[in-house]
Formats: sequence, structure tokens, C-alpha cells
Amino acid sequence: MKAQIALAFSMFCTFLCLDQNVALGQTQPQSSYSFTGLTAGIRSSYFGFFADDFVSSFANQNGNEIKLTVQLNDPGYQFVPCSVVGTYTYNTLTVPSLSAAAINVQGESVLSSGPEFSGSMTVHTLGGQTFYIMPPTSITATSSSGRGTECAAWYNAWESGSWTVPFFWDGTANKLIAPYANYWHNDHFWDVGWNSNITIRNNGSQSVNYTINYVRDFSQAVLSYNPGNSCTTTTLPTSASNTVGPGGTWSTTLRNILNPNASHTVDEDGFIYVVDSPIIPGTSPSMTITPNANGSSGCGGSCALIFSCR
Amino acid sequence: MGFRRVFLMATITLGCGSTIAQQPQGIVLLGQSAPGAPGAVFSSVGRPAINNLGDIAFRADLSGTGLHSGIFHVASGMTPTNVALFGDTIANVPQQLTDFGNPVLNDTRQIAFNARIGDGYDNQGVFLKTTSGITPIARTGESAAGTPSTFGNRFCTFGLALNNSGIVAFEATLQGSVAGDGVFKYSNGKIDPVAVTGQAAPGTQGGLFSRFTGLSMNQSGQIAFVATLDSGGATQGVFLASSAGITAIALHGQTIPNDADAIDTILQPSIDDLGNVAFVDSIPIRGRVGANTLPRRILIASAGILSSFASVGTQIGSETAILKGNFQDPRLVSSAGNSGALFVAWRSQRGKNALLLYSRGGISQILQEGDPSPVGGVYSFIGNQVFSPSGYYAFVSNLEGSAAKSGIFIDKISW
Repeated sequence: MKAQIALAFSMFCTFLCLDQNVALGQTQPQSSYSFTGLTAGIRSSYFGFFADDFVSSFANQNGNEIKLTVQLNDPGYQFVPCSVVGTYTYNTLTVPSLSAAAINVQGESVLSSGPEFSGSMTVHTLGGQTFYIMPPTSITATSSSGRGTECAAWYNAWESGSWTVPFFWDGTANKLIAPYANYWHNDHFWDVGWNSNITIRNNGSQSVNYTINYVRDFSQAVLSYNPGNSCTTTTLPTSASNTVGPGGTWSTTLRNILNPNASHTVDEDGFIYVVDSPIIPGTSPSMTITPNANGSSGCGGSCALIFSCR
Repeated sequence: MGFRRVFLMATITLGCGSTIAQQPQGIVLLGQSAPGAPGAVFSSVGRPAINNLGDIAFRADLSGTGLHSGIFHVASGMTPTNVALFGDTIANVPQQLTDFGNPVLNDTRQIAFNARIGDGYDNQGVFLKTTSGITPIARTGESAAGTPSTFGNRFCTFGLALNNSGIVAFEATLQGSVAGDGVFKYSNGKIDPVAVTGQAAPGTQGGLFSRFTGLSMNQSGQIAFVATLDSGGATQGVFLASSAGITAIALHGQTIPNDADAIDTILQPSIDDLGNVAFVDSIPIRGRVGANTLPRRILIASAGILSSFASVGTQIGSETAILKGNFQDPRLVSSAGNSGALFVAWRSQRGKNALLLYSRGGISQILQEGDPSPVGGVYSFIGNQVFSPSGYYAFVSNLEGSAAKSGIFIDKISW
């Protein structure tokens, strides 16, 4: 009986997953990843300071939590703290089921003075579980021009950034996963911030109801902060649904889904999964992250750069 | 081989001079055949559960067939057997089980676990396996006892515990007229709420429970849980629920005697049978992308007194080695005359995890990454440790230089 169930599911999944995978051009989740050619730090020149930075996000599609070890490698490079040379290991990340974790090398591991980090990153799960990744080679930032301070250069590097986020088809749970999404607005430092623009096109032959679900890093609560009232919090909605007919398109943003008060501070990093009902071949999702049009300095942290190796 | 044998039989010194012999055994390895699923092999293993008999239960991903994952049990000295597999049907559950969370296990070999039901992420449940079979305890859409809501689409895998009385403590999201989260207790077919969103949080100057982010339960049915708070004076805390009600154990911002650093973010609570509670204190990294935290120390609340037993600079026994950070998952136990906490931290060299035991006022090292494993190669990434009052402990490690890339290892401390 079990073999029949498995075979039936396997045949069903093979047909459907192949179709989705071909459509999306994606690969299966892995238990380890390695990336080279990464750069982060602050460069100083006659024209001012220039920043380089990158972010990576790890999405856990499993039914249980995963533990990750993340390492940066650059022989001879002096990280924070000073005694760490060549290889920097992040604190172990525990990522809950159906959640994600993002890291940004500036603000923890890389010095914002002296030589830049230039090397590789490796990520492994404990116990061999697989996960989806937003590659650190895909969300990078570089200053467009010199700035008078390191923090101004870092801000400049990210402020005009625009990035494409891949969607993956999770053939086990039959869901679309985007391993990173963000919405930052009116943050104390990142005042303008960014938004995630999501488009889902139904190329199939019948209507499909799509539900976009957003989950914050480490499954934490999704909140906005009111700068006008001691940064008190409001819990935000995290999902939205729409029915799209054959050949139709649904375009929305993470800001639309979270629907915060326009004056509130939001600093969200997480990931997105999309539920299709019914599941039929032909869905074509895409996501880009682009800067907001404007913003003001509200609640949140300050410039997180580290200038000495402590 | 001779070297390895000598190493594995080496002894370490506990804080006050007693010693423990170390000879972990690889009890489950990746690539090993999965019972109940012909043609399938283990392709990953999650955090195991352990009992006083030395049994373990664990969740594994499978490869080689269409059966994606399962829950397995290894009785002490025996080989694995399957408890639940992808595609299993359960009485009174209309759809198949399609994925699993990490299980918990008691001394009567009952096993509780979370599972996804049917096609998707949004239909889940908590199940209990007894000698009578597998029974659903709570499922998405069912009435959440003691609340006007129904269980939502998440049963947290950090928030599951089972004791020898067959009591199951679990965390679940709530949906309906009152949305949020809750901690619940199942006993003898009945579910009762322990704490839910919006409920007053005692000892917090008017705080209300908001979300629940981890729990632990002892044999008396006392539950230690971490909750974020709305209103009041603190934003987060760890609480103890017992027959006497709920009390605050430690709160965000609370100071500790003889310690300059106030408590920040509380993670990973663990309660022993005496009601002592250990937890990790972490510092969020603000002002940048990502919500990571730096785990900076392990605290213990005992008889109303808070203290730290592991922080950066803590010495390991009489060695010159010190702890360097990455404090992870304290597992606190007590038995007649003995008590201790098993945890992971970096020792001396940042980035190199060690499995450590806090007992009798001192810290001893059990093993560390880079040590040879009993199945060949060396331990390369250690974690997911569990500990029972009888002294049995287990952990997961990745392996370098071994055909098996990872596995579950088990041993027993002689108190």
C-alpha cells in the first residue's frame, strides 16, 4: 500500500515538478553551498569612501528546524575580532521550519577600515538537511560614487540597489519559494529602504487562486513601529490572496501585503512562499527588490559598521 | 586504529575531580538503509530525542524512493525501526502525513511529533505514538481548548515536549476571532491552554503574552516557555507554568547579581526535574539586514536566583582553555545526587565547536570538532545535543574524511 502511495506521488510529482522546474529553470535544494568572488568592506581614495557589501539568505522548507554554519574565507584577512584571521565562522544559525535567516557581512564580521574582504563563503547544514539559498553573489552593493564618511558610502552602496530574487519549486510540499524578500521603510538609518515587487502570471488553462505568504527571519513577529509614539509596535498581516484567470497576471508588493501605516517604521527581512490552488502547470512567478521612492528617519538602529577589530 | 581506540577511551575531568569515559557510538549514519522503506536510505538526520533507557527517536529525510521523510526509533542497543513515514495514513485524519518535525520521546517509548498533513505547508498537527498506535492530538482547524479560536497552520518544532506521564506540551498558532499563538498541554485525551496571546503575563508590570518561541517540560509537568510581550515593562521573558500558575523567571532588561550585563534576548529554555531553568542570553545585531543574534552566555535560574555558568572567558575545568562564544542549546537534567547541563560552545579557537558539560560547579569538555569519530573521519560540525537524567546523551555531527557525511552519536556519562 505504501509503495503504491509512494509510486503514485512520485509519478504525480515527477510530472508536476519537472514542469515547474523547467518553467522556472531552478535546481533542487542542497545541504551545502559555496560561492567565490565575494567582496565587502570600505575603500578609501582621493575621491572619498566607497563601500562593497553582500547579503545571503537561507530558507528552510523542511518540517523541522535546521542548523547552519556559515564561513567566510580569505587567507590572511583580519576579521572582527582581530584574532580571527583567514576564516570567519558565524555563530550557528538555527532556522525554524518554514522560515529563513539572512546575514549581512558588514556589521558583524568585516572591518570597515583597512583592506576589504575578498574571498569565498561556504554554508553547511548540520545533519545533511537541504535548504534554499539566495546566493551572496546575487544581492551585492557597491558605491556609485565617493562619500565623505564610511557610513555615507555604505548607505550609498545600498540605496539605489535593485536585485532579482529567484523562485524555486518545492516539489515536496508543492509550493513556490522565494528565499529572500524585504521591505524597509522609515528606518532610523535606512530611511528610504526597499520593497519587494512580486509578479505571478498564470499561463495555464484555468483560473488559479494564489496566496502569497511572507515569513520574517527566524519566524519572528512582523511588526511596524510608530515613531510618533515611542516606537510602539503594531502586528502586521503577512499574507494576501488573489484569483488569476488564464493568461492573467497579479502584480503586488510586500508593502501591499504588510499594509503598514505609511508613517511607521518597518524593517523586514524574510522569505516568501506561494500557495497555488489548484496546482496546475504554467505558473510563472518573479520578484525584484527595488528602492522605495522616499522615506524619513524613524525608529530602529544606527549605522552598524565596525571600524576596529576589537 | 590503535590511536583512535586510545583516544576514544580517554577520560576527562569533571569540575570537582570525577571523571567520565568517552566512547560515543555512531548509531545512525547517512546512507544507511531506512527501515520500512525498501530502497530508501537516510539522507539527513535532525535533532534526536533521548530517554533514560538510552533509546533515541529522530526525524530523517530519505532518498532513493518517493518516501521523502520519516520518524524513526532506535531502542537501546538495537537497530532503527520506523514510527511514521511519508504517505502514512492515520485514523481520523483525512489526508496522508507528508513531512515531520523533530520528535520527542519518553521512558515508556511513547513518541510525539509534529507533522504536515496533505499537500502543502498549511495543514499540520501534533501526533502521539503509543502502544495503541498513532493518535492525532491537535490539528489545524480544530477548536483550541480554552480559547475562542481554532488551531492555526503552524505547530512549532521548538515547542514540543513529552514526559513519562504521557503529557504533551506544544505550541501552536491560533486563528479565528482571537489570532496569535498559544502553549497547550495534552493529557489523557484532554487539551488545556497554558498561556495564549493577549493573556496577562505575571510579574511583568502589565505585560501581555504575544508570541511563544520555545518550551521545555519536566516530569512534574512544569513547563518553562519563552514569550514575547506586549505592553508592560519588558519585551520578552522566560516563564514557568505549574499547578500553582505562571511565574516570571527572567525578563529582558533584568539584571543579574554580580554581572554588569542585563538580560537581552532569551532563547532555548531547558527545565530539569527540580524546576531549575537554563537558557541562552543573546544580543541582537541591529542596524543591518538580517535579524541574527549573538548568543553570549548561558544563564540558569535556580531557587529564584539567576547566574551565568558559561560566557566568553569561562575556563574549562583546570585547563587554560576558555570559552569563546556561540553558546547553543543547554540541556539541563537532574537525577539523584547529580545535575548538569550539556551544551555546545566555541572553545579557545573561535569557530570550533565543543560539546561541553556543566556539572558540580565546573565545565568539562566531552569532545570537539576535529576529534576522530568512531566511524572514521573527524567530527566537523557538532550540535543538536540531547541529554537524559540517567546520563545518556546524543548529538549530531557532520563528518570529514568518512563515507558517511553525518550521523547521530550516543554515549553515557557515568555520574
